[in-house]
Amino acid sequence: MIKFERKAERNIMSLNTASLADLIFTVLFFFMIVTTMKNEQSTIEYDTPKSQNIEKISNKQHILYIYIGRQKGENTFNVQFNGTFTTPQNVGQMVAKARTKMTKQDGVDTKICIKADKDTPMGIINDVKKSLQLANALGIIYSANQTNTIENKP
Amino acid sequence: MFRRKHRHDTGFLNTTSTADISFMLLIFFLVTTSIDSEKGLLRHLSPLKDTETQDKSTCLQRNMLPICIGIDDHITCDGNEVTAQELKLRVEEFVENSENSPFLPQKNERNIPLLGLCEVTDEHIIAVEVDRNARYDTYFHAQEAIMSAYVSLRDKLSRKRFNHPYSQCSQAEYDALTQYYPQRISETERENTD
Repeated sequence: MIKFERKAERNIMSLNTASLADLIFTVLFFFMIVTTMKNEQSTIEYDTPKSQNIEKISNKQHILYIYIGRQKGENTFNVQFNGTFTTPQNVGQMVAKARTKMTKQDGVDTKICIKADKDTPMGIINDVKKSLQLANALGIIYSANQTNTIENKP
Repeated sequence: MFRRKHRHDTGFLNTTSTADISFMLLIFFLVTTSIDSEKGLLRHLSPLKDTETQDKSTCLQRNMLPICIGIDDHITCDGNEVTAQELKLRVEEFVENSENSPFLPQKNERNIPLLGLCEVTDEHIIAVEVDRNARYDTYFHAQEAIMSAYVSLRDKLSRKRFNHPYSQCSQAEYDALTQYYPQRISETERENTD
């Protein structure tokens, strides 16, 4: 008897999943277009300043990132560029080297994004800036987090 | 006709796994990419040779607005301690000099395309002095205040003369506004005082 019942169940029409693949491909293409690849991750911790009215940087292709922050459990500030630690004085040379690898037009458009921790002493930032000036990398972006709530600024 | 019927008999390709494959691709892209766009304050550093051309002693007292960024989140503007919001208003007042006050920057007549002959304070200097031990956060908010002061002045002028906000300006209008309110910020460093 049980066997008979099972045979009857088999007659249920199966769902046609042929278009499912197309649907998911559409979603996939959407994501491929709207997103950008993550670039190298920094190993230091940083918490950028918060701000309400900052501009969005449109062209992410020509941005080089300098991370300034603390390593976990340590109290000294480090500068990281392209995955390696460096000193504020040397970062300009490294940026210049990275720019030579780009095409001419990209090199001109390149901006340097400084992702620095809120508590970084200005001495380090100034040294980095001086070093960038020497390397003739003049367009810089001070990275920040957007907040919507009104905070008491210092 | 016969042949066509024959073709119908060939088995269909099993496409059930295509969905799974594309799902895997989708998840791969979701993991490796980031949607968040970069946000921040865009600044242009002055080229090295230009920084020494203008000596501070040669410029008039009225053209200078000294701003000091010190330790413990202290921002001093012209000797008085200010908040970031107050700093923005001070910078606006200083750069605009709407009443041609003798204590604010001198005005020079300039012929600017699209705007015609106008009096602009193109000799003003915002002299930012930064303590080496000041926090980056303080510096950032001071910079932001100065930048937003310029933006709001340019926006005001754009609405008055071009009848639309600064963000909708064409390149030519943008250049004219930049000539009217040029950004003149000098940054110096102060060694540790204590």
